[in-house]
Amino acid sequence: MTETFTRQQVIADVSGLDPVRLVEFIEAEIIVPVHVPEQPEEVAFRQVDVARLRLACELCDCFEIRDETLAMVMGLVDQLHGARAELRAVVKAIETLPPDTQRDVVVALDQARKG
Amino acid sequence: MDPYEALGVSRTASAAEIKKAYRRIVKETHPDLNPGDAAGEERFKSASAAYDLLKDPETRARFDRGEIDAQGQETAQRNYYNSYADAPDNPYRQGQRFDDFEDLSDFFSDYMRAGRGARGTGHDHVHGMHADGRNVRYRLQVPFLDAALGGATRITLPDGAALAVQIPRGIADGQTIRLRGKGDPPIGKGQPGDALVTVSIAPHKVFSRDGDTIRMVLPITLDEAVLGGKVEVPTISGNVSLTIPPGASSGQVLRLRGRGIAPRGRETCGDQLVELRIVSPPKVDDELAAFMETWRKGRDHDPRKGMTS
Repeated sequence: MTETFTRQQVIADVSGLDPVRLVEFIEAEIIVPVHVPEQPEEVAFRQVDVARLRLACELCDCFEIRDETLAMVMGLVDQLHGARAELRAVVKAIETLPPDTQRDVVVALDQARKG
Repeated sequence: MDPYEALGVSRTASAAEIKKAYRRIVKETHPDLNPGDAAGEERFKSASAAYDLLKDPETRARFDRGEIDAQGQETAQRNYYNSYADAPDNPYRQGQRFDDFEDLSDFFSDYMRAGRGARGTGHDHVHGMHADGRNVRYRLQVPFLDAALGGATRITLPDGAALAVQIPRGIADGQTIRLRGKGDPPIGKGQPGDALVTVSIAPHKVFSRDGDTIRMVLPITLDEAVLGGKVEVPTISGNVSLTIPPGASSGQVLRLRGRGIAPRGRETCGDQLVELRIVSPPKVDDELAAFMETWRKGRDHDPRKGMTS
Protein backbone atom coordinates (compact mmCIF):
# COMPACT_ATOMS: atom_id res chain seq x y z
CA MET A 1 0.00 0.00 0.00
CA THR A 2 2.64 2.50 0.98
CA GLU A 3 5.30 1.49 -1.54
CA THR A 4 5.75 4.26 -4.07
CA PHE A 5 7.16 4.34 -7.59
CA THR A 6 8.72 7.11 -9.66
CA ARG A 7 7.63 8.18 -13.13
CA GLN A 8 10.52 6.19 -14.65
CA GLN A 9 9.66 3.08 -12.65
CA VAL A 10 6.03 2.97 -13.74
CA ILE A 11 6.98 3.54 -17.38
CA ALA A 12 9.41 0.62 -17.17
CA ASP A 13 6.94 -1.57 -15.30
CA VAL A 14 3.72 -1.14 -17.28
CA SER A 15 3.79 -2.55 -20.78
CA GLY A 16 2.45 -0.15 -23.38
CA LEU A 17 3.13 2.91 -21.21
CA ASP A 18 5.43 5.67 -22.47
CA PRO A 19 6.17 9.16 -21.11
CA VAL A 20 3.73 10.85 -23.53
CA ARG A 21 0.89 8.52 -22.66
CA LEU A 22 1.54 8.97 -18.93
CA VAL A 23 1.26 12.76 -19.30
CA GLU A 24 -1.99 12.32 -21.25
CA PHE A 25 -3.41 10.06 -18.53
CA ILE A 26 -2.49 12.57 -15.83
CA GLU A 27 -3.99 15.47 -17.78
CA ALA A 28 -7.23 13.54 -18.32
CA GLU A 29 -7.23 12.70 -14.55
CA ILE A 30 -7.28 9.01 -15.41
CA ILE A 31 -4.34 8.84 -13.04
CA VAL A 32 -3.88 11.29 -10.18
CA PRO A 33 -0.32 10.93 -8.89
CA VAL A 34 0.58 11.71 -5.29
CA HIS A 35 2.20 15.05 -4.46
CA VAL A 36 4.91 14.73 -1.86
CA PRO A 37 5.49 18.15 -0.27
CA GLU A 38 9.13 17.30 0.54
CA GLN A 39 9.87 16.64 -3.17
CA PRO A 40 7.94 19.35 -5.03
CA GLU A 41 9.50 18.54 -8.42
CA GLU A 42 8.58 14.84 -8.40
CA VAL A 43 5.28 13.00 -8.13
CA ALA A 44 4.83 9.49 -6.74
CA PHE A 45 2.73 6.53 -7.86
CA ARG A 46 1.37 3.78 -5.65
CA GLN A 47 0.50 0.17 -6.42
CA VAL A 48 -3.11 1.10 -7.08
CA ASP A 49 -1.87 3.56 -9.73
CA VAL A 50 0.34 0.91 -11.36
CA ALA A 51 -2.59 -1.53 -11.56
CA ARG A 52 -4.79 1.24 -12.91
CA LEU A 53 -2.21 2.28 -15.51
CA ARG A 54 -1.99 -1.32 -16.67
CA LEU A 55 -5.76 -1.47 -17.13
CA ALA A 56 -5.78 1.90 -18.93
CA CYS A 57 -3.01 0.74 -21.31
CA GLU A 58 -4.84 -2.52 -22.01
CA LEU A 59 -8.02 -0.65 -22.85
CA CYS A 60 -6.05 1.75 -25.08
CA ASP A 61 -4.24 -0.99 -26.96
CA CYS A 62 -7.01 -3.52 -27.19
CA PHE A 63 -9.95 -1.28 -28.03
CA GLU A 64 -8.04 1.64 -29.52
CA ILE A 65 -9.73 4.19 -27.33
CA ARG A 66 -8.02 7.35 -26.13
CA ASP A 67 -8.42 10.45 -24.03
CA GLU A 68 -12.02 11.35 -23.33
CA THR A 69 -13.44 7.94 -24.20
CA LEU A 70 -10.89 6.20 -22.02
CA ALA A 71 -11.58 8.62 -19.17
CA MET A 72 -15.28 7.82 -19.51
CA VAL A 73 -14.72 4.04 -19.51
CA MET A 74 -12.42 4.29 -16.48
CA GLY A 75 -15.04 6.44 -14.76
CA LEU A 76 -17.63 3.72 -15.39
CA VAL A 77 -15.26 1.06 -14.07
CA ASP A 78 -14.81 3.14 -10.92
CA GLN A 79 -18.54 3.59 -10.57
CA LEU A 80 -19.03 -0.16 -10.93
CA HIS A 81 -16.47 -0.93 -8.25
CA GLY A 82 -17.79 1.86 -6.02
CA ALA A 83 -21.35 0.56 -6.34
CA ARG A 84 -20.24 -3.02 -5.63
CA ALA A 85 -18.35 -1.92 -2.52
CA GLU A 86 -21.32 0.13 -1.29
CA LEU A 87 -23.62 -2.82 -1.86
CA ARG A 88 -21.26 -5.09 0.07
CA ALA A 89 -21.25 -2.55 2.92
CA VAL A 90 -25.08 -2.55 2.94
CA VAL A 91 -25.17 -6.36 3.05
CA LYS A 92 -22.60 -6.39 5.84
CA ALA A 93 -24.62 -3.84 7.80
CA ILE A 94 -27.83 -5.84 7.32
CA GLU A 95 -26.08 -8.98 8.57
CA THR A 96 -25.45 -7.28 11.92
CA LEU A 97 -29.18 -6.62 12.44
CA PRO A 98 -31.50 -8.97 14.38
CA PRO A 99 -32.96 -11.84 12.24
CA ASP A 100 -36.49 -10.34 12.30
CA THR A 101 -35.21 -7.02 11.01
CA GLN A 102 -33.19 -8.82 8.33
CA ARG A 103 -36.37 -10.52 7.15
CA ASP A 104 -38.16 -7.14 7.09
CA VAL A 105 -35.37 -5.73 4.94
CA VAL A 106 -35.64 -8.65 2.50
CA VAL A 107 -39.42 -8.13 2.19
CA ALA A 108 -39.03 -4.36 1.79
CA LEU A 109 -36.31 -4.91 -0.81
CA ASP A 110 -38.53 -7.27 -2.73
CA GLN A 111 -41.32 -4.70 -2.78
CA ALA A 112 -38.96 -1.91 -3.79
CA ARG A 113 -37.76 -4.04 -6.72
CA LYS A 114 -41.28 -4.40 -8.00
CA GLY A 115 -41.54 -0.62 -7.91
CA MET B 1 -2.73 -24.69 -23.19
CA ASP B 2 -2.67 -24.30 -26.96
CA PRO B 3 -2.78 -20.56 -27.70
CA TYR B 4 -5.07 -20.99 -30.71
CA GLU B 5 -7.46 -22.94 -28.56
CA ALA B 6 -7.27 -20.31 -25.79
CA LEU B 7 -8.40 -17.67 -28.27
CA GLY B 8 -10.85 -19.95 -30.04
CA VAL B 9 -9.33 -19.42 -33.49
CA SER B 10 -7.98 -21.80 -36.12
CA ARG B 11 -4.26 -22.17 -36.77
CA THR B 12 -4.72 -20.37 -40.07
CA ALA B 13 -6.49 -17.35 -38.55
CA SER B 14 -5.32 -13.97 -39.79
CA ALA B 15 -3.77 -11.38 -37.47
CA ALA B 16 -7.02 -9.42 -37.60
CA GLU B 17 -9.05 -12.47 -36.62
CA ILE B 18 -6.72 -13.14 -33.72
CA LYS B 19 -7.03 -9.57 -32.50
CA LYS B 20 -10.80 -9.68 -32.85
CA ALA B 21 -11.02 -12.91 -30.86
CA TYR B 22 -8.75 -11.49 -28.16
CA ARG B 23 -10.80 -8.30 -27.94
CA ARG B 24 -13.99 -10.24 -27.50
CA ILE B 25 -12.50 -12.31 -24.67
CA VAL B 26 -11.14 -9.17 -22.97
CA LYS B 27 -14.54 -7.54 -23.15
CA GLU B 28 -16.27 -10.59 -21.69
CA THR B 29 -13.72 -11.63 -19.09
CA HIS B 30 -11.30 -8.84 -18.09
CA PRO B 31 -11.32 -9.04 -14.28
CA ASP B 32 -11.54 -5.26 -13.98
CA LEU B 33 -14.53 -5.03 -16.28
CA ASN B 34 -16.23 -8.18 -14.92
CA PRO B 35 -15.35 -8.28 -11.23
CA GLY B 36 -16.20 -11.43 -9.30
CA ASP B 37 -16.09 -13.84 -12.25
CA ALA B 38 -13.38 -16.36 -11.32
CA ALA B 39 -13.85 -18.59 -14.36
CA GLY B 40 -13.71 -15.51 -16.58
CA GLU B 41 -10.44 -14.48 -14.97
CA GLU B 42 -8.86 -17.82 -15.85
CA ARG B 43 -10.08 -17.47 -19.43
CA PHE B 44 -8.68 -13.95 -19.57
CA LYS B 45 -5.30 -15.15 -18.30
CA SER B 46 -4.94 -17.88 -20.92
CA ALA B 47 -6.18 -15.57 -23.66
CA SER B 48 -3.69 -12.84 -22.67
CA ALA B 49 -0.81 -15.31 -22.64
CA ALA B 50 -1.95 -16.66 -25.99
CA TYR B 51 -2.31 -13.22 -27.51
CA ASP B 52 1.14 -12.20 -26.28
CA LEU B 53 2.51 -15.17 -28.18
CA LEU B 54 0.49 -14.81 -31.37
CA LYS B 55 0.27 -11.03 -31.84
CA ASP B 56 3.85 -10.78 -33.09
CA PRO B 57 4.07 -12.53 -36.51
CA GLU B 58 7.64 -13.59 -35.83
CA THR B 59 7.01 -15.31 -32.48
CA ARG B 60 3.85 -16.80 -33.95
CA ALA B 61 5.87 -18.30 -36.81
CA ARG B 62 8.46 -19.66 -34.38
CA PHE B 63 5.69 -21.21 -32.29
CA ASP B 64 4.12 -22.74 -35.43
CA ARG B 65 7.46 -24.26 -36.40
CA GLY B 66 7.75 -25.70 -32.89
CA GLU B 67 10.82 -23.64 -31.98
CA ILE B 68 9.16 -22.24 -28.85
CA ASP B 69 6.35 -23.58 -26.74
CA ALA B 70 3.44 -21.83 -25.07
CA GLN B 71 4.98 -22.32 -21.63
CA GLY B 72 7.57 -19.59 -22.11
CA GLN B 73 4.82 -17.08 -22.53
CA GLU B 74 3.19 -17.56 -19.15
CA THR B 75 2.64 -14.10 -17.73
CA ALA B 76 3.83 -13.38 -14.23
CA GLN B 77 1.39 -13.09 -11.37
CA ARG B 78 -0.16 -9.66 -11.65
CA ASN B 79 -2.33 -7.48 -9.48
CA TYR B 80 -5.51 -6.44 -11.19
CA TYR B 81 -6.94 -3.02 -10.56
CA ASN B 82 -9.97 -4.71 -9.01
CA SER B 83 -7.88 -5.87 -6.05
CA TYR B 84 -7.51 -2.18 -5.13
CA ALA B 85 -10.59 -0.76 -6.78
CA ASP B 86 -13.17 -1.40 -4.10
CA ALA B 87 -10.92 -0.83 -1.10
CA PRO B 88 -12.26 1.98 1.08
CA ASP B 89 -9.06 3.96 0.61
CA ASN B 90 -9.00 3.71 -3.19
CA PRO B 91 -8.54 7.33 -4.24
CA TYR B 92 -10.38 6.69 -7.52
CA ARG B 93 -13.42 5.15 -5.93
CA GLN B 94 -16.68 6.87 -6.72
CA GLY B 95 -19.11 7.85 -4.04
CA GLN B 96 -16.45 8.71 -1.51
CA ARG B 97 -17.28 10.85 1.47
CA PHE B 98 -15.75 14.25 1.72
CA ASP B 99 -14.26 15.50 4.91
CA ASP B 100 -16.98 18.13 5.04
CA PHE B 101 -19.67 15.45 4.85
CA GLU B 102 -21.20 16.12 8.23
CA ASP B 103 -24.93 16.20 7.78
CA LEU B 104 -26.15 12.68 8.44
CA SER B 105 -29.83 13.64 8.60
CA ASP B 106 -30.28 13.17 4.86
CA PHE B 107 -28.21 10.01 4.86
CA PHE B 108 -30.26 8.04 2.38
CA SER B 109 -30.70 10.79 -0.19
CA ASP B 110 -27.04 11.73 0.16
CA TYR B 111 -26.19 8.06 -0.16
CA MET B 112 -27.49 7.96 -3.71
CA ARG B 113 -26.05 11.34 -4.62
CA ALA B 114 -22.61 10.83 -3.19
CA GLY B 115 -21.11 9.46 -6.38
CA ARG B 116 -21.88 12.48 -8.46
CA GLY B 117 -19.29 15.17 -8.71
CA ALA B 118 -16.58 12.99 -7.29
CA ARG B 119 -14.60 13.16 -10.51
CA GLY B 120 -15.37 16.80 -10.98
CA THR B 121 -17.59 16.47 -14.01
CA GLY B 122 -20.88 16.54 -12.10
CA HIS B 123 -20.19 20.04 -10.90
CA ASP B 124 -20.40 21.77 -14.25
CA HIS B 125 -23.40 23.98 -14.63
CA VAL B 126 -23.88 25.74 -17.92
CA HIS B 127 -25.98 28.91 -18.02
CA GLY B 128 -25.81 30.49 -21.47
CA MET B 129 -22.30 31.91 -21.85
CA HIS B 130 -21.48 31.16 -18.26
CA ALA B 131 -20.14 27.90 -16.92
CA ASP B 132 -18.78 26.82 -13.59
CA GLY B 133 -15.10 25.96 -13.45
CA ARG B 134 -14.06 22.31 -13.40
CA ASN B 135 -13.16 20.61 -10.14
CA VAL B 136 -9.51 19.58 -10.13
CA ARG B 137 -8.34 16.47 -8.28
CA TYR B 138 -5.09 16.14 -6.40
CA ARG B 139 -3.56 13.49 -4.24
CA LEU B 140 -1.31 14.57 -1.45
CA GLN B 141 1.06 12.64 0.75
CA VAL B 142 0.75 13.83 4.33
CA PRO B 143 3.25 13.04 7.10
CA PHE B 144 1.84 10.56 9.62
CA LEU B 145 1.90 12.98 12.55
CA ASP B 146 0.27 15.81 10.57
CA ALA B 147 -2.61 13.48 9.71
CA ALA B 148 -2.90 12.45 13.37
CA LEU B 149 -2.54 15.88 14.96
CA GLY B 150 -3.52 18.24 12.13
CA GLY B 151 -1.21 20.56 10.26
CA ALA B 152 -0.65 22.67 7.20
CA THR B 153 1.12 21.84 3.95
CA ARG B 154 1.13 22.82 0.31
CA ILE B 155 0.87 21.33 -3.15
CA THR B 156 3.32 22.72 -5.68
CA LEU B 157 1.54 23.04 -9.01
CA PRO B 158 3.27 22.50 -12.37
CA ASP B 159 3.32 26.28 -13.00
CA GLY B 160 5.23 26.80 -9.74
CA ALA B 161 2.24 28.21 -7.85
CA ALA B 162 1.36 26.63 -4.51
CA LEU B 163 -1.94 25.52 -3.08
CA ALA B 164 -2.14 25.79 0.71
CA VAL B 165 -3.86 22.83 2.38
CA GLN B 166 -5.01 22.63 5.99
CA ILE B 167 -4.96 19.06 7.26
CA PRO B 168 -7.77 18.44 9.75
CA ARG B 169 -6.76 16.51 12.86
CA GLY B 170 -7.38 12.76 12.57
CA ILE B 171 -7.91 12.67 8.79
CA ALA B 172 -7.89 9.09 7.45
CA ASP B 173 -6.05 7.63 4.49
CA GLY B 174 -8.12 8.13 1.34
CA GLN B 175 -10.28 10.97 2.70
CA THR B 176 -10.79 13.99 0.51
CA ILE B 177 -10.48 17.63 1.52
CA ARG B 178 -12.52 20.09 -0.56
CA LEU B 179 -10.91 23.48 -1.14
CA ARG B 180 -13.77 25.59 -2.39
CA GLY B 181 -13.01 27.81 -5.36
CA LYS B 182 -9.49 26.44 -5.83
CA GLY B 183 -10.26 24.47 -8.99
CA ASP B 184 -10.40 25.79 -12.55
CA PRO B 185 -11.68 29.32 -13.15
CA PRO B 186 -15.26 29.78 -14.42
CA ILE B 187 -16.39 31.03 -17.79
CA GLY B 188 -18.30 34.28 -17.51
CA LYS B 189 -20.22 34.60 -14.27
CA GLY B 190 -20.05 30.92 -13.24
CA GLN B 191 -18.54 29.67 -9.99
CA PRO B 192 -14.90 28.57 -9.85
CA GLY B 193 -14.42 24.81 -9.42
CA ASP B 194 -13.12 23.20 -6.26
CA ALA B 195 -9.80 21.50 -5.62
CA LEU B 196 -10.44 17.99 -4.29
CA VAL B 197 -7.40 16.78 -2.39
CA THR B 198 -7.35 13.08 -1.51
CA VAL B 199 -4.94 12.31 1.29
CA SER B 200 -2.40 9.47 1.39
CA ILE B 201 -0.81 9.10 4.79
CA ALA B 202 2.93 8.45 4.75
CA PRO B 203 4.16 5.59 6.95
CA HIS B 204 5.88 6.39 10.25
CA LYS B 205 8.97 4.59 11.48
CA VAL B 206 7.48 3.87 14.91
CA PHE B 207 3.71 4.23 14.74
CA SER B 208 1.03 2.66 12.61
CA ARG B 209 -2.62 3.49 12.61
CA ASP B 210 -5.91 1.64 12.74
CA GLY B 211 -8.68 4.26 12.68
CA ASP B 212 -8.16 6.38 15.77
CA THR B 213 -5.97 3.74 17.40
CA ILE B 214 -2.20 4.11 17.27
CA ARG B 215 -0.14 0.91 17.32
CA MET B 216 3.54 0.41 18.00
CA VAL B 217 5.98 -2.34 18.87
CA LEU B 218 8.06 -1.62 21.96
CA PRO B 219 11.36 -3.50 22.38
CA ILE B 220 12.12 -4.39 26.01
CA THR B 221 15.09 -6.10 27.58
CA LEU B 222 15.13 -9.55 29.13
CA ASP B 223 15.40 -8.15 32.67
CA GLU B 224 12.54 -5.67 32.05
CA ALA B 225 10.39 -8.56 30.86
CA VAL B 226 11.16 -10.67 33.93
CA LEU B 227 11.14 -8.00 36.62
CA GLY B 228 8.74 -5.47 35.12
CA GLY B 229 9.29 -1.77 35.54
CA LYS B 230 8.60 1.69 34.18
CA VAL B 231 9.81 2.63 30.69
CA GLU B 232 9.49 5.74 28.53
CA VAL B 233 7.26 5.21 25.50
CA PRO B 234 6.78 7.62 22.59
CA THR B 235 3.22 8.63 21.73
CA ILE B 236 2.00 10.97 18.99
CA SER B 237 1.86 13.75 21.60
CA GLY B 238 5.13 13.15 23.44
CA ASN B 239 6.71 10.56 25.72
CA VAL B 240 4.77 8.92 28.52
CA SER B 241 5.75 6.46 31.22
CA LEU B 242 4.47 2.90 30.83
CA THR B 243 4.50 0.19 33.50
CA ILE B 244 5.62 -3.20 32.21
CA PRO B 245 4.12 -5.94 34.39
CA PRO B 246 6.58 -8.52 35.78
CA GLY B 247 6.74 -11.66 33.64
CA ALA B 248 5.84 -9.91 30.39
CA SER B 249 6.01 -11.84 27.10
CA SER B 250 6.62 -10.83 23.50
CA GLY B 251 3.33 -10.16 21.73
CA GLN B 252 1.61 -8.95 24.91
CA VAL B 253 -0.30 -5.74 24.19
CA LEU B 254 -0.63 -2.89 26.68
CA ARG B 255 -3.13 -0.08 26.27
CA LEU B 256 -2.38 3.59 26.82
CA ARG B 257 -5.87 4.94 27.15
CA GLY B 258 -6.63 8.22 25.39
CA ARG B 259 -3.16 8.45 23.79
CA GLY B 260 -4.43 7.78 20.26
CA ILE B 261 -6.03 10.16 17.80
CA ALA B 262 -8.64 12.72 18.83
CA PRO B 263 -10.34 13.44 15.50
CA ARG B 264 -11.75 16.86 14.81
CA GLY B 265 -15.39 17.26 15.78
CA ARG B 266 -15.57 14.18 17.98
CA GLU B 267 -15.43 13.86 21.73
CA THR B 268 -13.92 10.41 21.85
CA CYS B 269 -10.23 9.81 21.69
CA GLY B 270 -8.44 6.68 20.48
CA ASP B 271 -5.92 4.66 22.47
CA GLN B 272 -2.34 3.68 21.81
CA LEU B 273 -1.67 -0.06 21.79
CA VAL B 274 1.86 -1.08 22.69
CA GLU B 275 2.98 -4.55 21.67
CA LEU B 276 5.93 -5.76 23.70
CA ARG B 277 8.89 -7.47 22.06
CA ILE B 278 11.62 -8.97 24.17
CA VAL B 279 15.07 -8.32 22.72
CA SER B 280 18.03 -10.34 23.99
CA PRO B 281 21.26 -8.48 24.73
CA PRO B 282 23.50 -8.21 21.62
CA LYS B 283 26.00 -10.53 23.29
CA VAL B 284 25.10 -13.17 25.85
CA ASP B 285 27.91 -12.96 28.40
CA ASP B 286 29.18 -15.85 30.50
CA GLU B 287 27.44 -14.61 33.62
CA LEU B 288 24.01 -14.59 31.95
CA ALA B 289 24.57 -17.99 30.34
CA ALA B 290 25.75 -19.51 33.63
CA PHE B 291 22.75 -18.05 35.47
CA MET B 292 20.33 -19.47 32.90
CA GLU B 293 21.97 -22.89 33.05
CA THR B 294 21.50 -22.95 36.82
CA TRP B 295 18.00 -21.49 36.62
CA ARG B 296 16.55 -24.04 34.23
CA LYS B 297 17.70 -27.05 36.23
CA GLY B 298 14.69 -28.79 37.76
CA ARG B 299 12.14 -26.58 35.96
CA ASP B 300 9.88 -28.01 33.30
CA HIS B 301 7.94 -24.98 32.01
CA ASP B 302 7.22 -25.66 28.32
CA PRO B 303 5.40 -22.89 26.39
CA ARG B 304 5.16 -25.27 23.39
CA LYS B 305 3.26 -27.88 25.35
CA GLY B 306 0.62 -29.55 23.19
CA MET B 307 1.97 -28.10 19.93
CA THR B 308 4.14 -31.06 19.04
CA SER B 309 3.04 -34.66 19.15
